Amino acid sequence: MRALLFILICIRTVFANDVALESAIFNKVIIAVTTKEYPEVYIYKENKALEQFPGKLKIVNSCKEADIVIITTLKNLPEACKEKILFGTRYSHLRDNRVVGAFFWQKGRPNILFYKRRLERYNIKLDASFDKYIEK
Amino acid sequence: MSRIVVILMMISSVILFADDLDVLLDKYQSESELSKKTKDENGGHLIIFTRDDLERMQVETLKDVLKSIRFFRYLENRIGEPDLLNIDPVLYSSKSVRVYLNDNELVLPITGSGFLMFGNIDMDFIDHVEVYEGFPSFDFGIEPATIVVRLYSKVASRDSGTRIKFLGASHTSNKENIYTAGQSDELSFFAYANHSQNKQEKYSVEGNTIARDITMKHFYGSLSKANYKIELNALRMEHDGFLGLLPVEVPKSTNMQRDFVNASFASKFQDESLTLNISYIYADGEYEANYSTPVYGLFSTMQQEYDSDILTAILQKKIKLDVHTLSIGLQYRYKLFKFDEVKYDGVPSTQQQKYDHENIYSLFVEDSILLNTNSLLGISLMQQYYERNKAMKNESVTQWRLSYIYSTKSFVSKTFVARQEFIPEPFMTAEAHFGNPELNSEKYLAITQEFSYSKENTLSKFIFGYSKTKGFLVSDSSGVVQNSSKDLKAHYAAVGFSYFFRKKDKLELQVDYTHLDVPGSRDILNHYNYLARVINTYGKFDIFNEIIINSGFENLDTGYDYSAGVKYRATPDLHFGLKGENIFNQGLSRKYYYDLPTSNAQFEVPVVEQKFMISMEYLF
Repeated sequence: MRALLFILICIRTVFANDVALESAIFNKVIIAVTTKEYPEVYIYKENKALEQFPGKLKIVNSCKEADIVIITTLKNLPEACKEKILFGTRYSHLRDNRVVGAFFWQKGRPNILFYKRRLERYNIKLDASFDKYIEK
Repeated sequence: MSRIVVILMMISSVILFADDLDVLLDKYQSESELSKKTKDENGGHLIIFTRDDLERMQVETLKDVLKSIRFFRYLENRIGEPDLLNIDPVLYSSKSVRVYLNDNELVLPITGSGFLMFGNIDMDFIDHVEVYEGFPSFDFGIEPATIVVRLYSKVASRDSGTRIKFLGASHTSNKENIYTAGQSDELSFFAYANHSQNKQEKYSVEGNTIARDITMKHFYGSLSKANYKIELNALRMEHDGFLGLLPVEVPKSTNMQRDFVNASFASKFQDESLTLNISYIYADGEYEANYSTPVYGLFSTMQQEYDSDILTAILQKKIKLDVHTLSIGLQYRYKLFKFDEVKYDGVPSTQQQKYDHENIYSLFVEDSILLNTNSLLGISLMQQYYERNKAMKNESVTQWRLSYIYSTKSFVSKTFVARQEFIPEPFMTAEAHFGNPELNSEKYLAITQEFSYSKENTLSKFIFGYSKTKGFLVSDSSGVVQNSSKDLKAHYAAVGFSYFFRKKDKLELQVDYTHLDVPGSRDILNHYNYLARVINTYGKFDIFNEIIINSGFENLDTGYDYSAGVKYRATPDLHFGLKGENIFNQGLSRKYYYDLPTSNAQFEVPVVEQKFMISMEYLF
């Protein structure tokens, strides 16, 4: 009974938790971008949602091992990361041409945005459900 | 235990990854409501207006939400300023209603709280509102309160970008504002500027035309870096003085101006468990009234000026020890106030205020004890010391509060018992005309209980309580404030029901009742408030309907206020709004004295006037 109560409390916590949902969105996007079921991800520098709930993502310790890099800043980005697919967490990250897309808050709502040319540069093909998030 | 974790992970994976991206983004936006991070269920009987509520209800000013909170109704005093507990002709009775913007109390030193200036503040920079009723937690501030209204501003991390808004309303009222926010790796900023003119019906009383129009200019800005934040909040209000300060004669004309500037610094250390907040407030004001016939046969013009400063410093530490969460706070507040610059027909009054500054020291300890997975016991103790410039006796008071919260998946019970002591504010003690330096503190004892039961689509609440006030402040026959020898007693109860349907729609029903045994001639009063509110979203349209019925209030006629609005989201960045307030002009009306002591004649006006407005918002 006590265990059941614990489960119920945890479920309430998990699903009342924006962090878990944020991770689910990252999972969805990163799996689509990398076309891998269990992509390897390097986080530069921190992302509480993915660190807490990695889901299907394997968090790695260096850019070398990574399929994609989630960036919270572009400042002092390690050289090894620059060759990888970069995905931003702020609208301002998209000002850098190397960043293919971003998941960010703006104007009071969460947004996902990709640039078509940048996706093409990395030969990334997203399925039709992503069309509304791609700017031509 | 490991099996449980595995089950949890499996369930979470199935649910989280099954949804498509649009659905996930919607859920994420809803679950990320800032109110979910800031609310404190242990803080009191809580009413939340989320950002989504504020947007879909087209809330323009704080009054739009305060007029529907249980047990109270929005009121203004005889000079057109917010005063939730107004008892005319007493100018201000809401000293225990405290307003906060983020972590800063918006306080005016003379009146003891800032509700008078911020009770109807513009809301376009506000993310959400939390109202705590029933002697809220000491965690909130340095001085005790019966109601705490916490306003949380929008934040740069969510609202990067710029929004402009224009609003036009009845009687050529208008509002224009802009906010802009942005962030870099190290800094984030939010800036908001508002100009509004709220024009209302003009009335003729005893051959004089009286008005309560208000022009407001407001700036709010914040700058954050890591664990440090500075904020600047500046407000100028220019308005008519309506029936004037004096209930003895109707003024021919009135003019008022109030200025308020608050600069604050907040910092967090030790993994955010240690906080230091420093806040400085400067406030000044002017009032002028002209009369056709001399008041008391003595003067035809009255001018009053005040200025004041407040410095507040709060150091707070949270410590987790096994099942205990300790919150320890050390607080200091310095108040300086001057309000004896009164002129009659241009001649300065010889009356002098009795003292002009005050030091308040406060120490509080709050222990939240997790008794088991379902039960939380809270014990709070606050010791305060008021040092008053040797002109008045210093005061040392003790406040305590006990809380017990029991919760299961669907049921929550909250019990609060509190004993609080309110030291009279400067306008009651130091004011030259009706102030009384011999006043003793008011002592409150209250017990309140809340039960709530939630199912998938419903939330039901039942709240009831009893409170007793010793030394309640009343005016004697010469207008001087005195402690009543009889206690003020109140019984109250409220029932609320919310039904959530379709994707985002909700229906809210609420009935509340208050029985007051008031010292003095007013005796027994029974108040009733009824609320029905429906908020719907159909495609690009947000529709809001609300009816509020208030009855049984002294000097207030029973009325029903029906308000409704439609918001059209043409694109995610362009919105148009149409709203009517008190549409049938049948809302609660208020009576004010204007011919005392010659007669008990009263003038009656709607508390919230009939108003229609149209608005446009554009984000870029």
